[in-house]
Amino acid sequence: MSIIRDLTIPMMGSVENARLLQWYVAEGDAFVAGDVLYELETDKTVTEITAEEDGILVRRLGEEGADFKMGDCVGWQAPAGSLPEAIQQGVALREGNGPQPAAAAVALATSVTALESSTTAATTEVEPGEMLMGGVMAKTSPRSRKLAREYGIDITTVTATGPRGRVTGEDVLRVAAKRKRLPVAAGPEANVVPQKAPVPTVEPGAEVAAAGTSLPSPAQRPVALTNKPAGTRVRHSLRRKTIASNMVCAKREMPHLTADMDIDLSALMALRKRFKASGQQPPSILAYFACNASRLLQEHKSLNATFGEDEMVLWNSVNLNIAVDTDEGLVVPVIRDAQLLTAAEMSTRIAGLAEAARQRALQPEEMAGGTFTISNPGALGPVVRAEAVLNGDQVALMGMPGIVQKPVAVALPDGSYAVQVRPILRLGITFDHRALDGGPVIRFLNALKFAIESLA
Amino acid sequence: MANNDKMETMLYNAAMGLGLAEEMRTNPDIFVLGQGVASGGWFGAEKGLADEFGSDRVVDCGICEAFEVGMAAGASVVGMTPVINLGFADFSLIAGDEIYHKLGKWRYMHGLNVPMSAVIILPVGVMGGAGPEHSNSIEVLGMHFPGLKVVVPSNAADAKGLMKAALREPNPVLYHSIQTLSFTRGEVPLDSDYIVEIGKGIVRRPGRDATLLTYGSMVNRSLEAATTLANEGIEVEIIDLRSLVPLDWELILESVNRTHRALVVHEANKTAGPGAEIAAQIQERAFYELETPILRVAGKDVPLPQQNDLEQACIPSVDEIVAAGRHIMSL
Repeated sequence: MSIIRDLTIPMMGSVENARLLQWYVAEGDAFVAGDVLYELETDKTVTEITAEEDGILVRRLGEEGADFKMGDCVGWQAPAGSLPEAIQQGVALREGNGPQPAAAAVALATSVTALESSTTAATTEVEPGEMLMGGVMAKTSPRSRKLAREYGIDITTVTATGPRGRVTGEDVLRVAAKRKRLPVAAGPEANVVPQKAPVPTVEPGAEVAAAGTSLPSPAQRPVALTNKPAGTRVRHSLRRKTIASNMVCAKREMPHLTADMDIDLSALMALRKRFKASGQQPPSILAYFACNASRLLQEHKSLNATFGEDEMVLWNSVNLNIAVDTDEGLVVPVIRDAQLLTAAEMSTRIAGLAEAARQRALQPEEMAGGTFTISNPGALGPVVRAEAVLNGDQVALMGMPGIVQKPVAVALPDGSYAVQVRPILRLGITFDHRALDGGPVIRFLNALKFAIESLA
Repeated sequence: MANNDKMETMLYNAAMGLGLAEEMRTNPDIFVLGQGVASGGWFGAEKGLADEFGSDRVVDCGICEAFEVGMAAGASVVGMTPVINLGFADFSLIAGDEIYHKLGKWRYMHGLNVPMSAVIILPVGVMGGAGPEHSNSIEVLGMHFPGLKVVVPSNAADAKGLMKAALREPNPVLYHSIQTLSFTRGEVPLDSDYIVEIGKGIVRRPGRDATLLTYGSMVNRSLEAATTLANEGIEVEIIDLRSLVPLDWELILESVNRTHRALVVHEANKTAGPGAEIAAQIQERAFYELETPILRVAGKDVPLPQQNDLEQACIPSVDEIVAAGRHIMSL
């Protein structure tokens, strides 16, 4: 029952022996997943061993300079957030200096190992709670989620005081009391807030109304009105609230950044002109990008993926989200198996979904399950950059800013350069840096640039 | 009653025997059968019964568990209230068909619109090196098979009160006395109507931080652990379930809904033990009241050794319970 667990040298392919060169974590120090724990020299290389999960280094068992086999135990670790008493208790149990019966238990457990492996009656001892608390759910509890629902509080905005940074029920109740919230109805329908709410006007310098029920809700915190000019209260739509909580979640959870690449649309424009000349309606510029990106994602699978706690899932097909601006805010309908569509088919599908979004006619399943997103702010105005916030659990998003006529140095057949004015789109890939490094992103951008500039 | 409020300190097994004797005095249909019961029983529970009620009602028999319980099933159908002491719950497996199929199911199978009162005494738990075949806690079987009630007294007063309740119960009752408690003493009410209702648990120690559900041999260890934890600022509520069938869900849920954390502690093996069922039902009934996973502290899934220290290592110690209390507050 000890909470202390072995810190073992991870297996590395065919490597058998390793020398522990240097520890990077002191006994008693906490570490988080990804921290370098120690440095290891093998016959092939010197490598840093990083923590697979958060924890506390209880003891260094492996001495610096000593040799080990892969899989050997070099230290003891405790789960992150373990109380010092619990660690002491665990160490005592492991050392066999614990309370007598418990110590004997360890001896016995050892002596019955052979038995355990040979009988179905014996089972692996699982540290209680460990399996559950390792995952993302660790940040809340069933009770805190229920209370948040009942009080109409966005749980991602609640300050956590529980062990391991978990939002407890008490944390939610504290926020509710501070905001003077009353429970809405019990159950999931508690989230349903009337869309059409009265829009009270606000006098300059007016105090915030005291009763929570009369406040436009639910803002993350009441808007302070003191010293502000007159204004109009616009109650959040559900859509706005969803956007807000998704954005907070994405910004908080995913370290993401954007890589840009200029793409010359001359070939694409020429192709569209040929369509028009023959009396046909050409596919939209967005459709060409969506079509080519979806096809290329079949080769660049790491951009069409979901990053989980312990694994990354590379999706076999592309469920393409297209961000659509509506009067009530952003919606992102999904096009399933987008990699199978031609540019013309893509163009029709996008137009249909965008219209449905603006009519609020999208079904929930038409917005669920996306694996990659295209945002096209350039359609609204000549923005110069299309940096964005990642969508849901996706690892990458493609942003398309406005097309700008730019002077470009163009290579001539004789090897010299001439400045020409070309239609340029500065394509941006925003990506989750946990899941992706710059390399695959740039390679994808390169491939897409080549595809678009080679259209004929 | 003349001796309504009187208490007497007596052995756990003697209290069990007192409950039995009191009921035998008022109900002539009760009789006792088992190995050695005429000479006081293996562990003294039936001491003096043969002298008072004669060998017609306190009957010795050979080693024939299947027959004993089979006879009890038949006797209960015709209106008698047999009490069978199998000496060790382990031996009930020999009488498994009679207990779990006959006693448990006949009222249902045969549409018997009559009571089937029977008490099968099945002492459970370690007793200091009795070995792998005489030390088990198999009370979970009575929870698994429908049709039986299951009680587990954790002290002398309950030993009497639950025995009396079992003898007045129209359904067969598996009465799990605790081997280690057999010769421990406790205050027992002498009131001849002192009953501990089947299906009612009791809060042995109130607490705000976590609900510890236990019974039988682990009640005292849990109370001891709670004292240690209280010194660290962790207030654990100790509930003695007393009955495993039916479970006192009103009491359990009231407590869990208040503390939002639950642990189950028992001597029985952890895997598929009573705690597995109790934990599963708590999460089914009160998932959204829980702050943490439900923890179990239970016997190890190994054959119990015949050596005293090793035997103790196989069942929860006070320290293990304390550690679990700390652990649940750190989750």
